[in-house]
Amino acid sequence: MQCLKIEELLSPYLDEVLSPPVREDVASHLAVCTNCREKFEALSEVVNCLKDLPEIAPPPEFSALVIAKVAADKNTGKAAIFKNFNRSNWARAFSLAAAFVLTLGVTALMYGMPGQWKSTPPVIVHREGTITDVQNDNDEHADTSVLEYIPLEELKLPGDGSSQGSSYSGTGVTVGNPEPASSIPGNGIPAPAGVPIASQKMAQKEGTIFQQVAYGQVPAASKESRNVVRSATLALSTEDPSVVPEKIADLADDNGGYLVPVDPENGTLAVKVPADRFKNVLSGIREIGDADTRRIEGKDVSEELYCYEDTLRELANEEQKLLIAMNSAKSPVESQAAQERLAKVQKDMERQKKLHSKLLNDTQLATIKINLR
Amino acid sequence: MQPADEILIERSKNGDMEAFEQLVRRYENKVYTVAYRFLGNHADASDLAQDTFLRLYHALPGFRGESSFMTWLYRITANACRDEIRRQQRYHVVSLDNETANSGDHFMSRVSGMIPSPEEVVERKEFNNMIQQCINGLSDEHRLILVMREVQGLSYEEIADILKCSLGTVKSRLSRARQAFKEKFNGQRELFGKDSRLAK
Repeated sequence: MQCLKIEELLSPYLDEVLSPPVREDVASHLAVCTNCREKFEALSEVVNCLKDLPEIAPPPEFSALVIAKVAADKNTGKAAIFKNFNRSNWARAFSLAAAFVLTLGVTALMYGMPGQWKSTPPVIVHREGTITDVQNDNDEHADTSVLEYIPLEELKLPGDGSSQGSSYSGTGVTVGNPEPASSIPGNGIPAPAGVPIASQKMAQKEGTIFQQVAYGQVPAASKESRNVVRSATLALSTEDPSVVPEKIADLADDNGGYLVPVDPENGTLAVKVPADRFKNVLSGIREIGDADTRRIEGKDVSEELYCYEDTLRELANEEQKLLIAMNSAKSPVESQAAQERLAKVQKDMERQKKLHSKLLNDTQLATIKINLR
Repeated sequence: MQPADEILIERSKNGDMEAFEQLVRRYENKVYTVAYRFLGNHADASDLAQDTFLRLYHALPGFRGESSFMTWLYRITANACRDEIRRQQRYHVVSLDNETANSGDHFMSRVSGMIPSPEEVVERKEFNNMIQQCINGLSDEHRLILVMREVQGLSYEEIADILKCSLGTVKSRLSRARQAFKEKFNGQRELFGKDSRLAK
């Protein structure tokens, strides 16, 4: 075989994927041809260099980023239902809503709104039997729902009113006889007259639990303005790149941000700065050298944030139900089941809170990536 | 004792994110290394590796254990790399980091030199960086097949299956890719320094 032909076969020969007769031909040629043998050895050497390259560890937060991405992807899936709404769908939905409002308006004009003529509009707390059943099998109301009237202002608890409304619907317990009390100890909220004290305690307990778990550590996203994650990438040429990281770190610091060492060895830097200082810092970086803007991006993540908040609300509701169920379980098995479910729900909540918090943080801190040349 | 892959996979399939996170942590180095070797910079490698794990999450319900999990994950990773090439070709993406890596030899050497670490460690690091630059300088096609074979260790059959080409094509393309890499390597080795022990 000629050397030219052998040279083409050196790579598959190295990997031992040639058919036996061809392999033997190459081997016998290499045994006699010094030139081809040297080429084979050189090839083996470079291939070994590639194989010997070390494994690279990702940044420590990598797995958390992956989980965040998976969760965001799930949420986007939910939001896609609305994204897929085309113009005619929206028009139809709007017409339907308009027709409903019109009907409601006409009905209200004709018959008046429910409770319109009362001085204090009552709120109906629908107390379902599920937890009651667990509490007392002999309760005569065990299989029935009980309606109680509580004046609206007396139901108010500290925190977000709108969320409380949703948290109360469908949950609660049947209560015993009213006890006379002027206030509930320990919380400073005056007890409303005519509302059973146990009911108030439970309502407040639920409300407190709900607020702590759903909102305790998680500030809600802004509903009035859009929540945008800002980022930019610049290519920066300077005469002396070695002083640039320090200058950029100072600039970030002056604007309330900080330098993130992305890949300084390859000349890549990143800074995190408050979103409202984004433009200032960009201008500042451009003054350092000859900057070429490659990308400026603003990604609206409001939908994702709202999705997280909705999920958190749902989980908080479930948690509160489970807490009550656990306290009133009639057997250790029931209690154990509720406890296990509760642990899972709480874990999910923690994860959702982290993701929400990270995304919200991203909206407040813009990222500027700088490639030094 | 760490739970076996199979257990984590089953739990992940049932929506247990904690199990999935464990799976990610177990294989993140492997996937990240492939992404970095293929793209040549950490920022893009991180995006690609994250995308790979997202694909993995979606593909998990279809995993029946016919091959090892590692092999299966490597196929997903290789597919993600292949799709990245297609995406870049479609949008004519210019990687800023690659430009920096290709043109910033001097800067890189200076930065590496600034890190106070033992001489050998620095030299090895620079040598590895030099190899990475040689990979970065290859065409997409050559870079992909080289990473699949040398970094991931995929067989010729697996590469042919992922790239949807014949075994003969894999043999010839890999041979050309190695040749192209060898030429760049030899060129860089001279620049790297004749006195370096690693370059010899």
